[in-house]
Amino acid sequence: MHELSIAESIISTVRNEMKLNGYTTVSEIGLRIGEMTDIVEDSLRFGLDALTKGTSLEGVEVKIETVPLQGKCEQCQREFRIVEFKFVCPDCQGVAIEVILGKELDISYLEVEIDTTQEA
Amino acid sequence: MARIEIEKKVLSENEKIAARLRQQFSSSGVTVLNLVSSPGSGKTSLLERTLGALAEVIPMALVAGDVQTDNDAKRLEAAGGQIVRPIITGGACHLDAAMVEKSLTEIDLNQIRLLFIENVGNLVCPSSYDLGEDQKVVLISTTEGDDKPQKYPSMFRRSSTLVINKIDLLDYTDFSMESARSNALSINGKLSVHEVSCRTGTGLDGWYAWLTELVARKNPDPKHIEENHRL
Ligand SMILES: Nc1nc2c(ncn2[C@@H]2O[C@H](COP(=O)(O)OP(=O)(O)OP(=O)(O)O)[C@@H](O)[C@H]2O)c(=O)[nH]1
Ligand SMILES: [Mg+2]
Ligand SMILES: [Zn+2]
Repeated sequence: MHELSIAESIISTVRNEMKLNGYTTVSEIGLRIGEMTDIVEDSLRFGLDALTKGTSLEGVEVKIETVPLQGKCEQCQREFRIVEFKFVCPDCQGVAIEVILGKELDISYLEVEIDTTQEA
Repeated sequence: MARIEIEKKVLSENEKIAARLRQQFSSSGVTVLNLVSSPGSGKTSLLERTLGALAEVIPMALVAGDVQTDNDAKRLEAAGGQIVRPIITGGACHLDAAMVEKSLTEIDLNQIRLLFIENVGNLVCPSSYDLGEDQKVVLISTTEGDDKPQKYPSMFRRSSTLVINKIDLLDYTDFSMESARSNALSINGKLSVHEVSCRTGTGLDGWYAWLTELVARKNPDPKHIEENHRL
C-alpha cells in the first residue's frame, strides 16, 4: 500500500506549486503513471480523497494517463510493447531489454485559478 | 481557469536525497545493497550468516527496516554486527531515502566498505523508492512458490541479483528451481542468481565470494581502511 505515500507526495507537491505560484484553486490534477510502478489506481484515488478531505483540495478532479510498458532490445535496437512483463525481443529473442517507457510517476499538469492580485 | 504543465516527478524529493546518498557512498567507496523480499524469505538470516563469515574481513554497517519492532536489528547485533541501525517505519510499508539518510548520520562511511539495507518485507512498495544503493538484491524462498517473479515483476526488474533461499526445503515443496529461474530471467535477463540455504549453509560460499568481489571492485584502494581489511 505505497499508494498512500504516493498520494502524500502528490498532495505536498501540488500545495508547494500553489504556494510558489500563487494559485488560489486547483480544480484538476493530471497524473502520468507507468505500467511498471505497481500503482493500483483505486487505492491511489482513495488515498487522495482521504488526504484532501476537509482541505481546499477536497473534491479535486484527478485524471490519470497510463503509460504502457515499452522496451528496446539492446541487441537489435527493436522497440516494442512489452506485454505481460515478458522482456524478450520479438525479433531476435534477445533478453537484454531496456525499459524506455512505463516507469513514469509524474504530475503532468494542474488546472488552476491564479491569484491575479499577487502578480506584477 | 488555466492549465499549467508542471511536469514534476512525484518522487522527486526522494530522488534528490537518493542522489545525495549515492554521491556520499561513491566518494567513500562504500558498496550498498538494498535487500528486498516478501516477509520471512530470509533477509535477516542471510545477513546473520554474512556477518558470521565476513565481519572480520569486510567492515560493514547494517540498517534494518521494520514496521513496528527493532527485532531484526537486535538479531544482527547478536550475530556480530558492529554498526547496526534499526529504522522503525511506524506503519510505512517501505523505506525511503530520507529514513536511510537519517539513520546514517552517526556512521562514518570512510570506516566501512559495505552497507546492507534490509528493507521492509514487501515485494511491491520498496521497488519505487531509490535509497542510493548500488543494487537491489531480491530474495525469494522455496516455501513461497516459484511464480513470485510473475506476480511482482517490477521488483525483479529493478533488482540486479536474485537469491533463492531455503533450498534445504526443496524436497518438501512443489517449488521448481528451473521454473523460478526461467520466470525471473524472462523478466530480467541480467539477474545473477544464487541458490542458498541460510539454515544449512549450502551455496553461501558463492554468495560470500560474489560479495567480496563486488566490494573490492567498487573501491580497489580504500585509503582509510586498515591493511587487513584491504581484501
Ligand atoms: N529451513 C530454512 N529456514 C530458513 C532459512 N532461512 C531463513 N529461515 C527461517 O525463516 C524464517 C524467517 O527468516 P528471516 O531471516 O527472519 O526472514 P526476513 O526476510 O528477515 O523476514 P522479515 O524481516 O520479517 O521480512 C526464520 O524462522 C528463519 O529461521 C533457510 O535457508 N532454511
Ligand atoms: Mg528481517
Ligand atoms: Zn532484438
